[in-house]
Amino acid sequence: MKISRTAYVARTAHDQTHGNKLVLPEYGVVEIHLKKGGTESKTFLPESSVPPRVPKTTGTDDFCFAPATQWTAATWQEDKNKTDKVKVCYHLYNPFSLIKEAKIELYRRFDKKPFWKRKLEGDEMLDGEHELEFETEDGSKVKEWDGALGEESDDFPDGFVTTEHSPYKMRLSVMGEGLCKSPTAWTFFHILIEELKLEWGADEVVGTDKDLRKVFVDLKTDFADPKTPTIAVPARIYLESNIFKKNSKEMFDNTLYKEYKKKWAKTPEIAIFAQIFVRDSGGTAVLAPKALGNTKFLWDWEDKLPDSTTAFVTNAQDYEKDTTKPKGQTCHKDRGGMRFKDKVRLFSTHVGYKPADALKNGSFPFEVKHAKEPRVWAAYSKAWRKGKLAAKTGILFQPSRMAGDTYKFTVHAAHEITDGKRKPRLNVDADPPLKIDDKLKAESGILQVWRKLHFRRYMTKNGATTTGWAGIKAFYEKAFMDIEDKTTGVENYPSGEWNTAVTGATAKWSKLDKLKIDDTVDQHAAGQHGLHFRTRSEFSTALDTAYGFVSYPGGKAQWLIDNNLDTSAKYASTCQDLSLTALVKIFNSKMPTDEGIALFHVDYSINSSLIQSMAGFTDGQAADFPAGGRKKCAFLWTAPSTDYGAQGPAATPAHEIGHHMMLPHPRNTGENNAPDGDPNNDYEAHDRAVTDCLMSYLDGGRELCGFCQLRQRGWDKSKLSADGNNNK
Amino acid sequence: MPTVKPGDCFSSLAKENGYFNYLTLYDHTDNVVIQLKRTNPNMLAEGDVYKIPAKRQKNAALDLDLEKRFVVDRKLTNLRLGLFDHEDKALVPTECTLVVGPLTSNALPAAGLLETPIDPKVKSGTVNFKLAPWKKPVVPPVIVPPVVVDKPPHPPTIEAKEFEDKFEEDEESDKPLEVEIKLQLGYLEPHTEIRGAIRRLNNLGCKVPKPDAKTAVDNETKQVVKSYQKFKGNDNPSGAIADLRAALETSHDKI
Repeated sequence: MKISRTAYVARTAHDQTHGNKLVLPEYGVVEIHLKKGGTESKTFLPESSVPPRVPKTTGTDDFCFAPATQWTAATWQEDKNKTDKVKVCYHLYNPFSLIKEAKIELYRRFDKKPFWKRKLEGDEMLDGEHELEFETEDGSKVKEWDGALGEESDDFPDGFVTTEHSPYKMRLSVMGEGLCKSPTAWTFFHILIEELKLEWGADEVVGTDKDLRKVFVDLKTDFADPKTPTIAVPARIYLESNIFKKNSKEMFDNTLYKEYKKKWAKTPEIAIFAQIFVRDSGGTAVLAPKALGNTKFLWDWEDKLPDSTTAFVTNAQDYEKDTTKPKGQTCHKDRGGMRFKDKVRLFSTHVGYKPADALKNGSFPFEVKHAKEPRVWAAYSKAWRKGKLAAKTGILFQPSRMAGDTYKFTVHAAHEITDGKRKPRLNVDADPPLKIDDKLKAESGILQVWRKLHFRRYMTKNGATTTGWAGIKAFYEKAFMDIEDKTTGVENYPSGEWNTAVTGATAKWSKLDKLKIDDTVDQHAAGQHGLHFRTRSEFSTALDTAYGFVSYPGGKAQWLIDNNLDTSAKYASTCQDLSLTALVKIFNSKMPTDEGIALFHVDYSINSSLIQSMAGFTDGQAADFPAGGRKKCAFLWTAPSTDYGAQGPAATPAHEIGHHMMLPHPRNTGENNAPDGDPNNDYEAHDRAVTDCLMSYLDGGRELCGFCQLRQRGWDKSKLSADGNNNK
Repeated sequence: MPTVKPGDCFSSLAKENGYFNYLTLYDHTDNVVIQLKRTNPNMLAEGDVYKIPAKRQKNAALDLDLEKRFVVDRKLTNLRLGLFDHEDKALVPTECTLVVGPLTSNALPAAGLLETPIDPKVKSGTVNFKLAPWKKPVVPPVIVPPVVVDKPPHPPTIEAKEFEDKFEEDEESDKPLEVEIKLQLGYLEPHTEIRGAIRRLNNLGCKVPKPDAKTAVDNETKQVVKSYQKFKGNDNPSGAIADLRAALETSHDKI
């Protein structure tokens, strides 16, 4: 290096002593750092530098601040007086005014070019310590910086440094004439996300369909905070599905799967938002939405369905459990669900819309895109930087309809990159959870899909020995079905209406059948049983009066044999059949208007004196009530709840309701020992390894077998084998 | 009446006019005015008026056949240069060459001072010197095996290598620094003159935009003055050259 200068010197006469001091001048950079209160960033110099003054060695590498104006969390409104401005301090060595050019530049990682530059001018290049001045909106100058870059750009959309490109390098460089042993210095600073908090999204952001909206609103009502549900007490995503057979044939086909699929062809929509807090220079989490820029947030979901206590179910859940992405046990696509080896996308994509102070009904506000390979099941969202949802981002979670499918999700700040190609660090093929600092993520609690059905009416004729719904619904909870009691309690059939209904139901009976009932008897007042019939003796007397039997060969005795009424048991059985048919008609008018299940209860279908003559009696019937249908059903219970022993009374109505839910009897169980091929049994719709399914007549465990559970959960019956080992 | 031209001083004027001692001119009654105005005979301002007195005839009696010895009192004129760094420490060149007219000297300065007699008529020269390289040796980085972390720290560790901004460092900073100073002899006017003050500022290392300015100080120069004032401990620098004159004389002239 060569330095040339010109000096203007005086000669010194023989009697003089003055001289000419010629100084070899220097210039350079001593320091640059950011400062707020007692904290400051650290100054760095090139290793080869010899700074003309000794720089301070205080300062740290973790200096951060929150750019731009902040919002108040309590009101979620912008507070223009709330900022976290820092000082940009620098120290030049320039006593000789040699510096011709000085500039401060900002760099981000893996980028050779500065994205911001500020030339120092005039007094800014004077020797000594400085605090950089910035022009404010009103044209005045302040010695504080709020992170503003002066102009907006694609990378810095609000014209502020953002969390997206953090950390940053701020470099001061000088050029001039003469000797410079310290031409540059720099410092680092961060714009940090300090905390992410999950909350449910606003109602308006899910679809306007009332069913969709209801699923979401109910979920929010049950759990105010999405992070609190646990695997023991999950947040249930209730899918209303009062789906019942229209006829007995539907117990034996795949109608249940098809109808549930049709009912929930629209995938549930669960909106989850994340509040995003930035760390200010004092370490406090604040809302600084403009500091977020285009920072992406990666949403990940995990399959958290645990093993079942039913081996058949666990086997089926285990199907391809290690090959799907992410791994899991929810219902596989091959069984009607969504789990698959590739691209299981439970987060829907959205273009979002411009931030505003009001939300559009039925439109998702945030931009959401699916992640590319390899983490194809995840999605990225961006935040709003102003408007009602400033400093928030979100996702619309659309799980499978399959009851029992269990999920958890996590939002991550995904601005970290691994290299110059700006590859997101988190886009990896690893199973959740991703490795990231706790401050940069927020996890939900456990969400679980449940079917929701309703008990709509419990009606007795005249104060039967009732049982509660709780025991009945308990049988279905293992299939992730919640049968909610929407009744107004046990109702009694009004007496006048009952008697009129009986008259109507028996009007078309034959003359002979009508003789079994005494018209003078008040049917409603006769007792808690269904229809009150004459005793066989009374019936015999009535026959005599009506027919005489004089001309009948063999007389009345032969006539009773010929009409299968020659014993008390046969007479009672005939009465029971008549009563069951009539009771369906009588209770049919009491079928509720709303969807769900009704239970009509009498203590025996006929008077107990007749019942006692029979070896056995019908204690209930999953009759297809004319006023029922796909969405409504009723069970006619014709036994006192006190008649059941240790097993309790609930299994019978639960069993019969199971039929309405299209569950058939299993193979050769109990009294239903029909041979193979009997159309009343579906041998391939039950777990072969289990004999005491609720749908059998055997006591024992009395719970739904695994096959029944999976069917009720919505699985495709046609893709399941009765041999559980085949379902793995 | 003759006026001072750039490079003139009483030493050079004396030599140019055949005087061996500047005092013959400077102390002459004809030059009383300039004598009072310029207390240093080697620091005149362009345009100063002086007189060259007529040479006086001097009679001396000579004896025939005897030797008579006449002594000419030829007074030397020196060049005194102080070579200092920005912190006022004496420079220690490894080589030094001073060329003034016919004179070439390779003497190294002693405690920063380079002093040698010169021909006062010579108005330019150079001093070239070399200084040892200043670059601090860079210690090769110790290769540390990457630490396996479960998750990256927050805030992230700053990895300097990830910032790819470049700065052209002085590639020759590990070589000796060569300095050439062109000398304008006799061009230093009194510190009381604007030009004299400005040129002292120049010699003391400042980048003076207009070293020939004689009457007015422009804004750029004011900025230079301001910076130098601040350097000298003035927290409220005025930028006025007048405020700096005395200090400049002390700093520059008194080695």
